[in-house]
Amino acid sequence: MTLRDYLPVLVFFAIGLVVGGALLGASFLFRRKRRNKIKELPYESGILATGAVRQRFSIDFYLTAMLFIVFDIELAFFYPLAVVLKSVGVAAVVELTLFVVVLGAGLAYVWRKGALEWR
Amino acid sequence: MNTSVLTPFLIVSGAGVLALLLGVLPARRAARMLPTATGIVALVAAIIMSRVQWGGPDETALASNYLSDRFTLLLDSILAVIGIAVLLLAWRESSSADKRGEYAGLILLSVAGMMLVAAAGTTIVLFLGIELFSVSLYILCALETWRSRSLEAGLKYLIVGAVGSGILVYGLALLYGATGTTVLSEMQHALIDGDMLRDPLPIAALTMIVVGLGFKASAVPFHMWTPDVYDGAPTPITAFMATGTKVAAFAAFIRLFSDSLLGMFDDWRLPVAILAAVTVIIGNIAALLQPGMKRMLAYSGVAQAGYLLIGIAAGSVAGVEAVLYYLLAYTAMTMAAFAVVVMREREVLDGDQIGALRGIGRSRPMMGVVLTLAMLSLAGFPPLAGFIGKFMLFGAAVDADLTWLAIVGAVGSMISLGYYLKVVAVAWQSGPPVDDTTYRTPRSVTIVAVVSAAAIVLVALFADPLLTLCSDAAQGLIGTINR
Amino acid sequence: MIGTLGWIVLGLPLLGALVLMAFGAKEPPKRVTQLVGCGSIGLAFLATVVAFFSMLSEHAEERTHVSRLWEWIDIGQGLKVDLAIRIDQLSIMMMLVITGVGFLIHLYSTEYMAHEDGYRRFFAEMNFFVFSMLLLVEAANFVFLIVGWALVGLASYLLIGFYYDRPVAVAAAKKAFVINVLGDIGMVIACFLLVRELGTLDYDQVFALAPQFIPAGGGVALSIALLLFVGAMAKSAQAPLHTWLPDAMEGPTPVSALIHAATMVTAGVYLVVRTHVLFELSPLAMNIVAGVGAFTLLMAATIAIAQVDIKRVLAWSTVSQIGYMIMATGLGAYASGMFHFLTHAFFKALLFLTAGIIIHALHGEQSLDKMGALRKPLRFAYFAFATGCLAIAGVPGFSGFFSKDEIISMAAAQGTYGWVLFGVSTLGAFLTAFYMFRLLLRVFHGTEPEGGYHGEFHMSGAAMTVPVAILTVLSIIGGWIQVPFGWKKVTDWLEPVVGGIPQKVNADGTLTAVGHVAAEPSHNLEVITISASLAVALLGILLAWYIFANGPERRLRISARHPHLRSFLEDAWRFDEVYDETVVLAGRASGDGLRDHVEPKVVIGAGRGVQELFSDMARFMHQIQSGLVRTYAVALMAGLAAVAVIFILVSR
Repeated sequence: MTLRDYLPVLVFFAIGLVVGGALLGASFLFRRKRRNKIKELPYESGILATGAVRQRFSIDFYLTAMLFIVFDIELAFFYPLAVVLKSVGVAAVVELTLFVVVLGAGLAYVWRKGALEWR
Repeated sequence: MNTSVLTPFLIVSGAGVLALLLGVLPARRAARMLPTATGIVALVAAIIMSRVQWGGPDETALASNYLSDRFTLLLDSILAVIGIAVLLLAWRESSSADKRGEYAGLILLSVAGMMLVAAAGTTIVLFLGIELFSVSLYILCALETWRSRSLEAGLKYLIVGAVGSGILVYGLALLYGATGTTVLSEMQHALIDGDMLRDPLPIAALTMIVVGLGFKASAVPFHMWTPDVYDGAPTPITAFMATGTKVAAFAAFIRLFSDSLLGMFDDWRLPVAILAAVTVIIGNIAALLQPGMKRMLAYSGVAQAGYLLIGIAAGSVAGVEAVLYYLLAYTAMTMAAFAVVVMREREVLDGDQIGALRGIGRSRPMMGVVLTLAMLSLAGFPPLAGFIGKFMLFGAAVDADLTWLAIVGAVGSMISLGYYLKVVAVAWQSGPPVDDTTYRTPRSVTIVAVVSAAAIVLVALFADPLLTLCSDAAQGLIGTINR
Repeated sequence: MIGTLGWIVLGLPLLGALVLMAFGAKEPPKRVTQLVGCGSIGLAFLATVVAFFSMLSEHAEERTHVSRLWEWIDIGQGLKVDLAIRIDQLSIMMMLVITGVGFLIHLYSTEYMAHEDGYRRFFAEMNFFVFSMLLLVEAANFVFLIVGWALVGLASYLLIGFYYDRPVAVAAAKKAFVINVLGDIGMVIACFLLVRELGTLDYDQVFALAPQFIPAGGGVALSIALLLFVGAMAKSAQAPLHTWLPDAMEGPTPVSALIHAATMVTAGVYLVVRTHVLFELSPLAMNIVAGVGAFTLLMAATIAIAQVDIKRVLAWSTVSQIGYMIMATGLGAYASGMFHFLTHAFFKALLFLTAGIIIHALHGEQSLDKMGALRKPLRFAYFAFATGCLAIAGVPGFSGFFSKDEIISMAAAQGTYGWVLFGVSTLGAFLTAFYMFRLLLRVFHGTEPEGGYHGEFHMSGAAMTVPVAILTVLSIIGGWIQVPFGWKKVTDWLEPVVGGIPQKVNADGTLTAVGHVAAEPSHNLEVITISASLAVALLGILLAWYIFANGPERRLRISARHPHLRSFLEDAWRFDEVYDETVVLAGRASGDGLRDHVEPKVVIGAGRGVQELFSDMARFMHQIQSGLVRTYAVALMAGLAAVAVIFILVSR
């Protein structure tokens, strides 16, 4: 099998590109360009939109979410280990302890930096 | 399995976590001094450990995920030295006053990631190492949060870096698809056994890996992030990126191309050679017109990556040996150049402009000599380290029937004289001194500058023992595979 | 013993340079500088003389001494580079000139440079130059040859740009450096080829192995020889890489005398002689070498006629004389080339140092238009300069006569091509006599310049006149060591190094000669060529006398009749202009293109665009996401596509 065997795939992509481009281009060329204020308004089920669409959230949400995910993953490690603890032995416990220690260090750091406080 | 071979990596990564914690100690004095001190102690310990293990048999640990051969140990030492130098450069960085923990901790974690790349026995560990050092660097770039350029650099690096990493991991995944294994040393046989050498799949994988690693090594055309990021990042971190990232990227190149994928040499030889040629040419020409030292050094770093790729393209023990030796030389001369920039930047406004170096050779001959040595060596001026390195690189290319590539490299070095010499000329010019003597240069920066400059000379003077070292490391790699 | 002396000779100038540099920013007393600067070179000269005499007492075949200090690089596949020196007949000859003439010029400089800033720097750099030049000629392998080669280039760069506050000087220094690096690259690539073909860079091994493993007359032999010759052309200012040398006259006059006349610029001649085995493997390369030399000597001689700066006339004359040497080596007449190197070192150093005295006396004036009738006030300089002119013009009895005529006769003996070169070099001899006497007559004879001289002449002291006097004597007697129909000391001395033909060992053990030995001119032929060159030299002198001896009227009338020719010669055949329009402009255009189109749009434009929008973090994010990072990512993906295309094309 050589790369040439994949030529049909390339042709397929090329045709797709040409067709798609041609359709969009055609509609761009031939469409009627008439704009007015009402047309440009964002559509919200017939109700007039109020306020900016792109609202900004407090960065604290992101921080909290990230911290949550970190500890979520920790749990995702704990459960399977608890199930198979007998068969994997001490080494796994040591490894997981190390993992928890590193995570704990991270928590301590975050705490000291004040990331857990809501500003 | 012998877990003790992991010690260099464990020491450095452990110290990284510790430094992060020490940085938030309630006692201010301790929080300022301890992280850097811990880092330096840990890195010295890592160097000692790799020295102790040198000469022993090759070992694997963690189910062949971690290789401890001479290649690993040599690169561990280089990376640890880079780490120490960067910690010293950042020692009194005014910006890092209350971020010592982050500075030292992230630098250590980054060094640990680079060590992991050098020691990678599987594609997974390779990628893990690359991500570990990349993510640390994204943060380090943006650490001067009050400076918009720094934030910009960090964000840009993050976004473009993610694309680069994505392409790389895609390539590695395809490679796994083609071979059915992630273990580097088994790939060769898997390719032959599966009759995959003629298959497009591993070639597609190669393409993406070349691009992904080319991005990390800032090879043209994947270099566009380099000047912006180098320019915006805090200068000690720029020095770190210029040296450490380059070493790690080429460690990955060597592990993958010169070792496990050497069987596909005929396929990747020419593409890598073309990449090298384009990188040398574009990098050198673009560097000609840069008014800023950091931007100029960024483009010069691009060009240097091109020279290093020439050694990879040779695909021989001599080529790898030359790459390793050149990495040593490159580290010394780049560090020396950046040390001078760091110093100048703290003394005068716009200290990263070439003009800010005017007359430095007259007012402070020591720094002038350091800068001159660094520039001449970067330009490949005999008999300095850069010359020997380039000589070996180009020689390996000629041996591998890539004479045209050696000529491109030589012509590139000639172009490079244009901008390196400009710096030297400016440094020794007389004229109104751009001086602000109110600030005293911290001794740690001076030490880094002088030691790096001495290293440029020593690496050249003791080329023979160092080359033996490099050749030992290279032979351990390529010796495992019969071509 | 001789090896040790070689190391001492090499070490003394380096030590001197280091000591002088160690003084740092504060100037030491002038006495100290003089003592260290001249003393180290003087001692080196003494050591060389001792080595020379102990070599004389040895058997001719045993005069090669290789001394290894330590192994520098040892790469697995047999390539070994030692820090080693090789003292043999050829290198000791170069060493004698470098340290001997070098010492005289150092002595001269103690007074000439006395009023300049950077007295210590000057001597430090001069000592550094002498060290580099000695390294170049003493090297025992190609790597240290290149190291020395590059270091002399660096020293020359530093010294041309000695007056760093003059932009012209800085530009000239840069030009010289860049052209020389071009030559370095040629040499380095030649070395790569040697490593690939022979696996070694050691002189002994290369010269022994080359005839066996490099097919004579083949492409490899041609490439190696020509690449080496590119190095020689750049260093020895042979066309078309000669344009840096006249500009190099921006340096102080002692520098011009030592580096750009007596020693460094003849390194190309040394290189060809040293590696003559490699050149003889390719007859075509030899012919090209000879042709380049002939072209250069004629071209430079015509240009020298029209120059008005006294130092530039001498610079062009140097280019022309080195053309003779290169031509001789291209003909296989290595000893003749080296002989001319020796005499040229004497009389050209003499001419430059005397020019220095004149410039000194006129408070820095270098233009011929501001000189004239200096015969009386500068009597000593007049005699010295006249001696130099007689020597270079080839008047019998003076040194240049013996060496130049030997080259011309050798040329005549080499068949048809030789006769062409004979014609060119004879014409060159005529022009040489003409332009040198033009110089002499315009400076010392004729009428005083308009408005006369201002102020007192600045007379030179003993430190300047004694070296000039010594060189005057050498310029007269220096040629008598090799006399036509008489004795051939230089040829005999160099015989073990350059004589003989490289031989290839055949499979059955027999030997086949590779290359050829230059034919000796017959007795009659030598008589003919000597009379011919003598005749043209006298013709040249007479013509110069007719035009220049009595004031400017006659020469102005003649030059007014040929304005185009005059300006063409004045602009040195317009090489610089052509380079500007092709090489420099093309380079600048591509650089500008990158800066104007790529930089602003992709890098700076994007960067600045972001910077301006920075006031607001949100907008910054917005900008990043919709603007420049996308550009980078697109470039990344485009690069990926390009690499993929290459991979597809390469893989079958």
